[in-house]
Amino acid sequence: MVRTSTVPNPQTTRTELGERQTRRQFASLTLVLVTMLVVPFGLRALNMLAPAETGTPSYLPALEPIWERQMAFDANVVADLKVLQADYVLIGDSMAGSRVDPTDLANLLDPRGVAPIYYAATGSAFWYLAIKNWIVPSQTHPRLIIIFFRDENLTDPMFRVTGMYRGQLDRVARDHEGVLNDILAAHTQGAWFRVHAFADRLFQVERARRWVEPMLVSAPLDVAARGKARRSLLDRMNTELFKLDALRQMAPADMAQGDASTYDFRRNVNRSVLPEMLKIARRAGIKLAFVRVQRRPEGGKPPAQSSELQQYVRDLKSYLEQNGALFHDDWGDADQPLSIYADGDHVSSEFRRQYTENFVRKNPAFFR
Amino acid sequence: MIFHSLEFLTFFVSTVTVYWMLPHRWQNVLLLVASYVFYGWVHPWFLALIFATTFIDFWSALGMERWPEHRRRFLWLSIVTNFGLLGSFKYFNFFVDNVAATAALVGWHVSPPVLNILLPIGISFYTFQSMSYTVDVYWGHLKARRSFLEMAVFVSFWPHLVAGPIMRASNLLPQVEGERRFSAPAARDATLLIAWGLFKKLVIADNVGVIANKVFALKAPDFYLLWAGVFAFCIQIYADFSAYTDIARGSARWLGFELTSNFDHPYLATGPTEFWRRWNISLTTWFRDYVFLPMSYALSRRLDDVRWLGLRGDVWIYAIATQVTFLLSGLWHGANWNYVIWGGYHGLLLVVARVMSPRRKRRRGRGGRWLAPLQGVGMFALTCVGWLIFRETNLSMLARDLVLSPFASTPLQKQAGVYLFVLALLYSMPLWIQSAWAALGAPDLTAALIPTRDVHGKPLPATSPAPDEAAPRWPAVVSQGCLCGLLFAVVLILRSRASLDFIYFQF
Repeated sequence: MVRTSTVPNPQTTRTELGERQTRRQFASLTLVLVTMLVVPFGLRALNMLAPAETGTPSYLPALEPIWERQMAFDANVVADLKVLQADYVLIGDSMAGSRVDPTDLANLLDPRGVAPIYYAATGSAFWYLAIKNWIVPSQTHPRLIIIFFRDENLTDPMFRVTGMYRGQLDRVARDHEGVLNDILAAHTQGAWFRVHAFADRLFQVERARRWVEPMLVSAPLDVAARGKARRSLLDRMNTELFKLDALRQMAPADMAQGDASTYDFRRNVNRSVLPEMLKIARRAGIKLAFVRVQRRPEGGKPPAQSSELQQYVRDLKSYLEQNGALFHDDWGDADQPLSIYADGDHVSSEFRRQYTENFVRKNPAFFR
Repeated sequence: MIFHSLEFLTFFVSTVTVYWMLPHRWQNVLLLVASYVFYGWVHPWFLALIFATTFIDFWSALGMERWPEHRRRFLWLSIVTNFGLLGSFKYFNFFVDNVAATAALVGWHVSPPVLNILLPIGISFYTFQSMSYTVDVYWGHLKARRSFLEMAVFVSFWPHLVAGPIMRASNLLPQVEGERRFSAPAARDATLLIAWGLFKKLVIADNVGVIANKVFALKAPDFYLLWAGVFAFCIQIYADFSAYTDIARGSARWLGFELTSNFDHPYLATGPTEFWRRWNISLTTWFRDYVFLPMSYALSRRLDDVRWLGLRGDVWIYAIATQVTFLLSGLWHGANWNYVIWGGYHGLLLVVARVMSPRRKRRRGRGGRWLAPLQGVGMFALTCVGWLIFRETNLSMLARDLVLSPFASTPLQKQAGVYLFVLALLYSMPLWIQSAWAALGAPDLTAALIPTRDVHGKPLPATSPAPDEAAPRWPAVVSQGCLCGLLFAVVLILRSRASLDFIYFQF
């Protein structure tokens, strides 16, 4: 074989060199992107150094991965409902409790009974679980379940499920609450919560977060206080400095006015427990009724409602009626002036009977 | 659509992928469609406003060239339309409330009409950007554009549409019109910018934002709690706003665009003038070029030779033009008096600095440069006072806050204030390290890994093919990847559970 030497074409060489470098630059970009995804796997290694975890997995991991129940599931309610076989079940928080007296209602209607499921400081997540885990398993068949709520409560499943309210759910929740968890996860982690869950499994994000975050948050305590004061500082900050009545712009009640996004019914309904409530009730052959209580009147008038809230109520009414539920709105009721109110949105106990009587009179469709 | 969402990630990846498969003209069509999807994602009716702004300014500029004798009329058409829209949506309620309050002072009680509408996000930003185009055409600095498509892309370019930086037509329009080519090194750098921006937003700004919100929710915070909250807000607003800019610049780089930088370590400033050279640079220079300079020029014809209160005419011109500019800048930020006061406060600082500048120069000559760190601390304290004015929308609370005594606090309040201050400091440590790095003369922490400058320190043009054809520096590439990964990992484990909107969205 004869080897021939060729003179390189400078133009070609430059182009080839350029192309090679371009390929290398693309490789470098790929390297950066891949490294970016690989480094977080280091969290798994980091977690091995962390102290071992104790505790029971939460039934609502969207809120917290580990949860020690403050109380056990209350099976007595199921048993009581089974015995009572009430015609009407009333569900709600102190709004319902301060308005309708179950004994007075039973006396007015003379039905087999009225069962109140009144739990103060609860929200729609609790009420949904009450239907699912208490009423339906009790195999009672009430004529109607009446749920009392304020404004956007029904489409805000996050209302009273965190902080000091969290423990309330224990009494009504089973060990697995997948549907409620998915609904809450859609709020805490957005519509893409399943992607977040995948990333969590992949990189052990929450596991790392559970020991890194407290370390970071407690580090400044050493600078701020010493000894006993250090240990109690965070608690005292919450209970003394940032307690509810130290905050400004306190609404007359414990629930502030919402904004346009809060009152976007169509956007929020499918991320709420409301469709599930209706579904469970339908399956069990139970009719639901929803009562929107009037919030505290202002200046001798019913409380002002933004155009968004008015639209929200219209949409809610139409949605409930399409799904076979009953709806009543207390707003603007001339029999509910400011004088019958106690604190916040609560009705004064002396007007409870009056409210109950009016409630029966004004809702004949509920009590046919 | 917000940057820190998976909707945005999907939007971004799909847009960038399709974008680089298209020829130039179709790239612009895609940019326009993508920008309108981005902007109208939650409230499609916002699109009507941005389209109206684009339409009026496009035809106004063309009209100025076609009928030069009516140039002024077309300029007024643009100004009235733009400020009319901005005024209606942003300032109408503020205006009628103040008219009603003034009327009430003279015993005439009226119930003013209230416009119950949402403020379209980013309206202040794109209005100013679009206005700069018509003014530049009016002044003859720029030729009117013939392509409505390119003009529409210029006004609505999604990466910076909602919170800036405000780009000048002379900078962005040529980039829209010119051919762009994909640059892998630019994309690499862009990835780091985006990761750094997300870190600043989700880890720093949102975590310290919770502290600030907690303190400003108190009815009567004491001295220590209040100033811990102000410090937290000071960190929050910088981390939040600069994060948006970084993510915007990074996203734009992936598309072959280079947006101007908006911040240059503002808390290192040793005086008010320097602060405004480092803070929200694009807005500051906008006000300088379109308000301050024309006004100074107009005033100079009347006040050049005057001497009042021992001060020369040029100082008075500076003082008046600065005050007006900063009052307007304050009002630009929001329809509330605290923003106006905040603008006036900064205007005053600038004027005082100007009056004192000969004395400062003399002191510097006598070794005063050693005072620079002290001046930095002093300026930071003044900036914090400014942020208190900015954050506190209730004026009676503001008056109370400014006279709080540190000696009236209880031990618990003092401990809580110290705790919150240190916590905010801890979260913001990466920002301080980055700034200290810059102050020591070392290259910017992120710029160190981003080859945006050539050996002479000049910025590389984004469209320059040079970086692609140069050999990659592998250690730098690996560092970039590791830094991106580290930022991503920290975002995953320390992102705030209370994800807040970008602060500047409301402006």
